[in-house]
Amino acid sequence: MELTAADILFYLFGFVSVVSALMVVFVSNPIYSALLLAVVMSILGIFFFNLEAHFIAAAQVVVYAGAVMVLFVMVMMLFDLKREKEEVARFSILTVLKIISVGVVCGVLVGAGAMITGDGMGFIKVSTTEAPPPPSMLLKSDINAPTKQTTNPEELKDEVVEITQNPQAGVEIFTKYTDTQKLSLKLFSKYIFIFELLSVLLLVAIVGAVALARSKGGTHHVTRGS
Amino acid sequence: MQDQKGAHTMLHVGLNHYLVLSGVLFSIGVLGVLLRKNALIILMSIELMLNAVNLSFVAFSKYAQNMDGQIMVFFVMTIAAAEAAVGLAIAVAVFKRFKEVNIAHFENLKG
Amino acid sequence: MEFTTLSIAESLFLLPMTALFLTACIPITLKVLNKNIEPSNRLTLSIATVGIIVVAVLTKLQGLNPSPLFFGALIFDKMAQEINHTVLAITLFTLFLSYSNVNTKEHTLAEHVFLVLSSATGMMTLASSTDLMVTFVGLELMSIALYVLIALGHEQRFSKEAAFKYFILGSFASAIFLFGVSFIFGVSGTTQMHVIANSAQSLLTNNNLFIIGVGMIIIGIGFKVSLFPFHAWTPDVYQGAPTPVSAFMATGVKLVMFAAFIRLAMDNFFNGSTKLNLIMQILAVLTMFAGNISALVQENVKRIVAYSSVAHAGYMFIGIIAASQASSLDAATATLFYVIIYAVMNMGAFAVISIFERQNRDGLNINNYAGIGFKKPFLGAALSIFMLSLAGMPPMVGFIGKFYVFSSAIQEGYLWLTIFGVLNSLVSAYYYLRVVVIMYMKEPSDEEIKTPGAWPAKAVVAITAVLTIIFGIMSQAIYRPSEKSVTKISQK
Repeated sequence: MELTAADILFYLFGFVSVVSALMVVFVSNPIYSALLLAVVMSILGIFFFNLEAHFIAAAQVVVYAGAVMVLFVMVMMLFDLKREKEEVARFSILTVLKIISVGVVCGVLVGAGAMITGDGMGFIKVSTTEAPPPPSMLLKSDINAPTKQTTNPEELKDEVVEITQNPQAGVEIFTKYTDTQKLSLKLFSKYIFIFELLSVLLLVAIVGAVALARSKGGTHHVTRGS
Repeated sequence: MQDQKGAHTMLHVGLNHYLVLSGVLFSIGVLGVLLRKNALIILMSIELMLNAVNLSFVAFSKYAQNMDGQIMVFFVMTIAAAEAAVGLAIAVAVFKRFKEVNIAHFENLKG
Repeated sequence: MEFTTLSIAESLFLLPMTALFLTACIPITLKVLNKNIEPSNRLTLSIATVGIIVVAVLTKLQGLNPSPLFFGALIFDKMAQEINHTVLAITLFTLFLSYSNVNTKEHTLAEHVFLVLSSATGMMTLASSTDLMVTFVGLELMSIALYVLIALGHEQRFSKEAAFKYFILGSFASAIFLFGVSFIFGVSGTTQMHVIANSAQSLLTNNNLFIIGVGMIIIGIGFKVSLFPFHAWTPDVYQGAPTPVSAFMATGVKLVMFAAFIRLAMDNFFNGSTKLNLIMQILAVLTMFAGNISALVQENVKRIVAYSSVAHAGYMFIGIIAASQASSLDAATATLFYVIIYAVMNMGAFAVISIFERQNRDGLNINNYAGIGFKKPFLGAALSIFMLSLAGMPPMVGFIGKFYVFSSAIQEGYLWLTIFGVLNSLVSAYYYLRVVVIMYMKEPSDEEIKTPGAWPAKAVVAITAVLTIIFGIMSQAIYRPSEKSVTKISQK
């Protein structure tokens, strides 16, 4: 198995993302850190695309790099940061201890990740090197008609039953549908409860942020009577 | 990894590579939380950690051919965005009260 | 049960959580419809009380289901029902305290009620969850509401700083928890605890990724319940947060996170690796020592209670370690019992502290409590009951709880752990008795202590004090149901 173009691109983008992440931590200007983090997130979007998670890749770029980081930069503009461009961290024994401990953690995680093999991984077979080809590759001509797919409601119902009954189901389904279709098949059948709970969470976040702004020490405090 | 075909097999990208990358990014995020004193950079390091976890989930999802990982990423993305919004709201409130966001100056609560 | 879509019967199990969330929305909707004028505090409190009582009745009426519902996400067994009832009681007490406390009443009580009840919804989710994903989402829901709750306290300096510290450390812990979940997912292909239980034991001995995953899950949950070395945030955050919110955190969060620990332990997640077991034992011992020794030198009452809650997390963790072999149910039952009664005791102690709190952080030094035993006999007696119960003196229920946990630990063979636990209980008696001594033996200052509008908080104190004594005398009354509830878990 020789080196393909995708591999070379993986190494290139991996290198850029690690360097950018290091700079996020070690650069003194927070605006630079925010923009570098947006770079890391976009590169992770590229990785998701390479891993055939097309919907997640798009969501990563739109939500994270496009909304969350913009929010960060906007909030940073509100602060007067001239005094904040101080040194990154004082060079003391505590700093060295922290770096060493993080290095140990990194070593443990990297070692565990590097040594895992295909067999012996629980009760499913995982292939570490080879995955079956995706159902629709971008340059193929049959992009609009993947093979063996179905829109027949009876068969779709069987698919959903299969998904919801078998905890590890989906291996056959994995090759039949496109990524967004697979995501929606599982999301609205098996994980419907979490989906509904997330709406509660979003409402709580909204109300919390607004309440904080309108509270006594907040930026939009309104005195009684208006 | 089986190495019978020579060094080329280890360079071909597999699950291990993605896990190593995820571990490295996660550790860099932890380093940022521990090392930096600026509140916003700490928030950004936490976002970096959550992104590293997303990468690990999606990598496992592809190589096990199981969609659960991608769905988990869907949820984690939503939660991380909501958490970032609330965290920034708290940071703005802190800034309004203390006029700065350097956590080295937050020692009011000791004793 | 063959569900391709959700049937009505299955969805009815969600009715209590839905009702709780709708109750949360009512006061804030009234506020909006009223052109942003705050509805009267009594109205808000009454709506919340009625709502919580309705939800408690619904929880009792909905019955039990022995197998996981919603395609393996939730389980509504007896343990979940007990914990839900306790969570609802704690929420009700917290709202009573918020009504009277100087730092939370007026101005923003509608938002406060919304956030407390939403956090309680997250807690109810955590109590029933059998899927690690659902645990994560419930954890985040509970925590995000808490971050904002702390920040909304009226004392700007302390609340904002405490909220920020709790947010940073809480998010950090959630990210570590999530990384552990990703490893466990990668190894076993699913996140549902009862499915992983079948192979968890062999995975734990052989598979490095699985061990690291479980370790990171323990670290993540350990942050939330203040295990060593992740306990450093506890005194600062409890001191800075408004007292009712501290009470809610100290009791409710511990309750549901230890419920999650119990479910993990009963599903064999900690069973099989002696290294992991040893690390957990060391954590428990260091937690107890850290909590008790630090509490000896504190002057601020809230910090004393905060460090004591760290120590109690250590005792509870002893119960989890004893339950990790999953061979007998005594340890899990004992831990469940201990967590529930601890919630009651601690809520009472916080209630008394909340009544005595004044503005500008006055009234929180332990010397302010001098002579209160005679000036305010009811509150003094109640606080003595709570302090003695936390220290583990018979006939209060604290003694029974510790007795059950330690005896189950000995039964599983953890002799040294129990010795350290008893030693720590003896050490802790010093600072609990110190409060009682100051209340009754020290010369009181001459100022008049007025406690206006504190009747809900006093009601909380009365109820929890009575419960502490009654449960101590009639401990079988809630121990037997706990036993029945934990039995059902392991029969999956």
